[in-house]
Amino acid sequence: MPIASRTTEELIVEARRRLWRAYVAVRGVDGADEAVAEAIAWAWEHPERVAELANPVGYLYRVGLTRTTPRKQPRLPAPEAVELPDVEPGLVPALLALSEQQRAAVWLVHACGWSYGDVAEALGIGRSTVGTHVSRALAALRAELDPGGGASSDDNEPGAVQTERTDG
Amino acid sequence: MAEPVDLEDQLRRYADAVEAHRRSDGGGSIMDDPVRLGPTPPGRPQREPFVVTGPDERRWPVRRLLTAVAAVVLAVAVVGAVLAAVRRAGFSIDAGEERPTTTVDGSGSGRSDGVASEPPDVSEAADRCREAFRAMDESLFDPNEPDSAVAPVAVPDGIEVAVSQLILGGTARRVVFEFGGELRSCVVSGSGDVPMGSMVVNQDDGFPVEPDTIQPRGSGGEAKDWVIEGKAGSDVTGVRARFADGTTFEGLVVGGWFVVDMSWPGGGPANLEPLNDVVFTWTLADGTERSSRSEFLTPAGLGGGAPCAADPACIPAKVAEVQTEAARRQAAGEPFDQGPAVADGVVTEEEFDAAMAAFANCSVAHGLSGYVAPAPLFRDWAIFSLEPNTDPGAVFGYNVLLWPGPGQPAVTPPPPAVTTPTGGNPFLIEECRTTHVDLVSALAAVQDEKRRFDENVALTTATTGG
Repeated sequence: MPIASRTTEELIVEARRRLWRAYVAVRGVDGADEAVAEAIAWAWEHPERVAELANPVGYLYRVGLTRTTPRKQPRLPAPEAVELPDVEPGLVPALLALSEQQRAAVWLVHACGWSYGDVAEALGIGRSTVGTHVSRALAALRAELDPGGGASSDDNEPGAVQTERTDG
Repeated sequence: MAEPVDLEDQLRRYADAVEAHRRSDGGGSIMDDPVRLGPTPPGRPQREPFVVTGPDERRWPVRRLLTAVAAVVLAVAVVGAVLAAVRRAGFSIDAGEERPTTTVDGSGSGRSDGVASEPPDVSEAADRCREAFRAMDESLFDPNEPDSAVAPVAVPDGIEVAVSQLILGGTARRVVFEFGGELRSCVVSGSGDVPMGSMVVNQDDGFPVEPDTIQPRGSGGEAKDWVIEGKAGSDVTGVRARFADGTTFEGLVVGGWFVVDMSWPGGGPANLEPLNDVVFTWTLADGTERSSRSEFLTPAGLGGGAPCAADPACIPAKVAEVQTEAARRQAAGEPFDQGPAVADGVVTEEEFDAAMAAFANCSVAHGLSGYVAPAPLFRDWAIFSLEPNTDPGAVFGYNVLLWPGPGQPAVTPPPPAVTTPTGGNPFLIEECRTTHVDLVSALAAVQDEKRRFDENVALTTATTGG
């Protein structure tokens, strides 16, 4: 069995760092650890494949999801618990109320800074679908956090939000 | 009017904060009061939809339809199979008599101790299982990645198992049945009304789970119930687990997956630690057998010692000890990039055990404690996974080493160990890719353990049977 090259090792270490954050929205704080462990274990079992992947983090993200089982409801800490008193207290329950695909898409794009292409590959869906999920998720979050009218009408149109993060 | 919420910024900052706190406190305190989803709004499914990890979403409506059809077929098959089995065995299904089970163990879960048991409500169990399997099917099975499909296993020719009821200490039923040409399994509570945990869709209590998962089955009372399940490798055709008290349980192996259900009806010997010193004997496709062992290790390494969880100063002390040793070896020019030396040719049993012991000792020196469970996960490789116990405050993490199995060609240097800290484990046990222990003493410890274990088995087999 070939031994992982140093390059592959570095790649896997980097992937591990990014994966935990990516899993939080769909697996919760507890389940993210498990998903990361499974994804990285798979990576070490298949170093050759990892080395050939164009988007190893995205692929490993899928592996981690596939090899772990979702909890009935992911657990996320309240903003105050992570010392963010100025974050909308309703953000987390609103996030949890999203469908899992929407939550994953909006989280990966806006909380993790992934491109639409990366998210599409990680979730196994098309880029346009990612855009739709993100758009609808943002609209739902805005509606939940500012039911008086914070959301613009454009946000309710599928695919209306097509801008990708660039700072992330 | 309130200021517009910058959602993108808030999501990013929230993620930053969660990640930062996870690193600083292991994710513990921030989850003391987790945010929970409120009551299910009208029109929203009660359970969050599962992640579709494989095919395009557009295929799922068809899949769901097929699943629904298959579920109906399954219900008919389940009832028919059970009735047929009952008829074959000559029992009346409504007589409340003991009914034969298609368990595979030798002395525990498939016991025939003359104690009448309540006929399980198969239809209800199957109903629960269908629900679980639907979810599992949608969440786990990726047809584009057959190797990642942890759920289904193929039913080989000649196996007619449709329903297998395993009575787990009277508190749970494991239901294994064919479904769409695949063998599946789940567990429901003894009363049939509450699935145990989240059943198949929850790794805490599910089948299948990842390789080498060894988990106690909460049963209450005096009964000791466990299930060991995982991936055994495509060349494994049978498995049996023998414990230190001599009790042996036969497992079921299908399509590379194995499950061993165990139950000590009377609770087993008082000092029995069933997850310790279990010997797995794997029957390979060529008829040969190979054994591997699971051992419980404490931070003191082989031979016992107080767990670090009981002493807050223990872990840093152990780490300091290892670091000191590492510095000494570096100063002495002793290599760290090699595992235990293996002779040219094939790996011997002793070298294999020495590698396991060295790796385990290195890991436990970092505060991990748990089980070393070698298994023929791969055709030519064994995997050692060292997990911590679940004591509050214990360091939580995994440390995994791939190593050529006994009789396999030696590869030097060996593949790297893999460390996948979880749960806020602050340690990256990169050092455990190498070994810091004295291999001679490690090997001696293994041999001592073997002697002790063999003597123990010899003594207990005669009295407890096997």
